[in-house]
Amino acid sequence: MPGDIEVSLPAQPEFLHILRSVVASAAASMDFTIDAIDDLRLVVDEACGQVLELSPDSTVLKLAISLRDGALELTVSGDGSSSKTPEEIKDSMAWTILSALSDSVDIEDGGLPAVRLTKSNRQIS
Amino acid sequence: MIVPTPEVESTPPDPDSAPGAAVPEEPEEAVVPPTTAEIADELFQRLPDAAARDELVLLFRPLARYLARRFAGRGEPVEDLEQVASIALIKAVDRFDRGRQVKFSTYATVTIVGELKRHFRDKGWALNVPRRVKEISLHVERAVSELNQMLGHSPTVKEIAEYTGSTEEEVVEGIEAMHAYSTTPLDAPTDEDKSSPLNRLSIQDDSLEVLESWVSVKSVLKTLPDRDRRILHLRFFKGMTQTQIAAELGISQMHVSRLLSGTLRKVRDRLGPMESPSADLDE
Repeated sequence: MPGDIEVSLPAQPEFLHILRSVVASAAASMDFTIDAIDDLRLVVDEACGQVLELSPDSTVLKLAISLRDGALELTVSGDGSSSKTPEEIKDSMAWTILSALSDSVDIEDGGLPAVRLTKSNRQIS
Repeated sequence: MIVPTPEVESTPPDPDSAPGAAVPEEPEEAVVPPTTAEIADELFQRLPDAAARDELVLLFRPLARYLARRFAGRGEPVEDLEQVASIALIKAVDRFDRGRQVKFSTYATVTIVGELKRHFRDKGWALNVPRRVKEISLHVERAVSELNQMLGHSPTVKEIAEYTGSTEEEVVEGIEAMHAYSTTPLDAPTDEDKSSPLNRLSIQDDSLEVLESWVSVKSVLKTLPDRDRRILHLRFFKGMTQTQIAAELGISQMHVSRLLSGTLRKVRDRLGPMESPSADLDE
């Protein structure tokens, strides 16, 4: 992938499929396996959910995709204020799923509420 | 694909809190209810105790169900998916190695998602994707031409989705698939010589049809009384006239005519709904 991708859209569930498609297309163009692409689709959903959980007053969700050392780095951020602590977020089932399906995932503290995660393009059995 | 779900805005059930316990958010001073992880740890120590195993499965069932629902909307019934996820959860409980530095919830998630994906692949993706893709693109293709007529303009994805009862995402996928999976129909003329592959591959074998009628007529002939069969034989195989046949059998020509048409009717009736035997059977 030659450059980074950024998409922003209204923070409403009916727009989520766009983010899923963008991530899936980007991953597909980077030759991610179908399995990994499937994981990414789930992961995008959960990440968006977590950002809204963290910051329910967000009206815009921004997705940034970049390629770092063969891994896809996804950052989903909101434009509201954080109303929960990262610890509260990390206590949820969604977070369990996020961390199980990605290589690394964290809540970004600087400025906007954001979930940042990476997933590498390796074959998973 | 995953259909947009309202779940995104609500928190999924929390696996790290005890079932039924309203979680106090300041765990500092209060009596801390044990977390799911702690409960799980304790239960794992009691394995292979059957009751502990049951409790573990029940404890993480919400996780299995949640993951199963994430795979809904792909053409498999949610109940089936939940079953696959539950079985995967049981496997995860049985296989989990406490010695490894992995939380059970992580291990279970990976196992369950893996089994769900495998379910689709087996059921499956090798077959299902082309079939599903084919179905979607067929629906989309038909909807596009029908909507074009109905609306008087090229339909939007939304219109197609409403018309076909699919989600917009599915329609987009179907359209992509139409591009990727379009194949040349066998009977479409190719550019080079205007003949279709089907034309080049096939010829009409007329003798087949004759053979078919012959086979069926023959079986009917066997069921006829001897005299009827003899008359048919003399008329159509020896080429004798009705008068000659009448002389041969010592009956009147009128009688031969009646017998012959009666026999032919019988043959036609017994041949059933097939087209009537070719005209030369008639006088």
